[in-house]
Amino acid sequence: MDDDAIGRLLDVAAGRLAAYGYLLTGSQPASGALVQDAIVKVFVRHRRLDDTIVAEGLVRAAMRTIHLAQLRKAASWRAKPQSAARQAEPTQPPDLAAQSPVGHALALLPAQERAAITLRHHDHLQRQEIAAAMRVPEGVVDGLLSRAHATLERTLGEIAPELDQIPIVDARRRG
Amino acid sequence: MIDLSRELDGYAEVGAEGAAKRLADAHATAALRSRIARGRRRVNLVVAGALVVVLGIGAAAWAAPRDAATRVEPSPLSTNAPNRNQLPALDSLNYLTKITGEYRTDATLMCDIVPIAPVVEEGVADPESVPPLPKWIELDRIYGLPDLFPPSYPIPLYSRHGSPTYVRASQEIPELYPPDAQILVALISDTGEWWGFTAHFQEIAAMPFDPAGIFVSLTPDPACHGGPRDPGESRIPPGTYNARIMVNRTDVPFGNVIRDFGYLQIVTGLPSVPYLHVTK
Repeated sequence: MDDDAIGRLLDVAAGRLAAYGYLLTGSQPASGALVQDAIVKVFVRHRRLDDTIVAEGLVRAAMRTIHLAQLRKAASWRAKPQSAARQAEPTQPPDLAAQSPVGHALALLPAQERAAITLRHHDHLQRQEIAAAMRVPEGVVDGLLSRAHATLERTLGEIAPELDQIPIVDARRRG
Repeated sequence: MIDLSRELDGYAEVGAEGAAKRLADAHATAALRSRIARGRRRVNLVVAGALVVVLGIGAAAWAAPRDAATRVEPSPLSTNAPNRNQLPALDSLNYLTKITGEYRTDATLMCDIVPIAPVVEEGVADPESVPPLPKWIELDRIYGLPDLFPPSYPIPLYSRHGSPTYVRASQEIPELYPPDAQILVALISDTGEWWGFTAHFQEIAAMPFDPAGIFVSLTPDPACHGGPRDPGESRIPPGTYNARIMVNRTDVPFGNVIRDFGYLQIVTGLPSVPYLHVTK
């Protein structure tokens, strides 16, 4: 029965899913809601999901889709008053992660840049994949990543390139 | 040089501390299972409803292939749609809201202006103007039915056959609420909480359960909400609300406009379509 599948999924992966949600949203309540929305979406659609690894993958993908869809919908009405809207949000005591240097640095990023950084450096997606997920041209992804990197580097120091950005050199041909 | 991937992993792990326990607690998982069961019931009903319609259309076509005007009325799956008879019928006088105020500005209207009194030039609402919102809205038309009708299900406004104001509405609505304008509908409760919805008006002739005519789709804007007890991203609960519509358009000078409406009612489910209606 799926009840068991949901229980098994949460037993094994609740921490990882919550962490992913936190990375995307930067808020514990929003992260919890995102995980739950994604689980509902996946389990309404897939009535038999016995493999926990598959279920976790589907829920993570659904979290990404739901979060990016929310950003897209919000974009038109949120573009200008974003800072005002953020100020109007009920204030909650910042958690430990938010108080860390990475938390402070991520808090400086607009939601789209934060999403792009998460997809690049946590999900390890290529720019084409990020563009497809965010439904924006690749050039926009480059811009988002470049601005986000600049902001993060100002606070955290120089960022090492991802493994797939490091040029591979044939050692036998080296002088 | 920092390894950003590793830093992000550490940050997320610390940020999610305790969240796993909260997600897996008995109350949260019971709520999850209930949401999943509800979603599946809706999907079942939609699929069954669609099947009934398809079979009904097939049977009607078989029985009376020469009568193109025959309207197929498939029998409802559920006979206990509780609110249906209480709703004003489409095209009746009680169906549409009334405009109570109108304000114009050349400033761009954003969702944070919803709760505050307009500070822009006040105008007199044209009483003859055709209303762009119904007086009652079904919850499932706003939030859609999982998987099959995302993200929202169009709400009928003016029927092509039967509405005395359809012809005027078909000219006026595209003019006042053009497809390329930004249109936000805010529903404001008496206690000051408000929810924002992106609105889109269109003429549709192929809806399976509603007559051809002019429809409005209201898509929840998860970032546009607020009030003394900020409702967060929760769904708007059934009840009575004041409606405010805000239109940003760049094609007309001084064309950005706020229009206020009288009360409208949010009702549970989708009682106007008994095939799809599920009592929550």
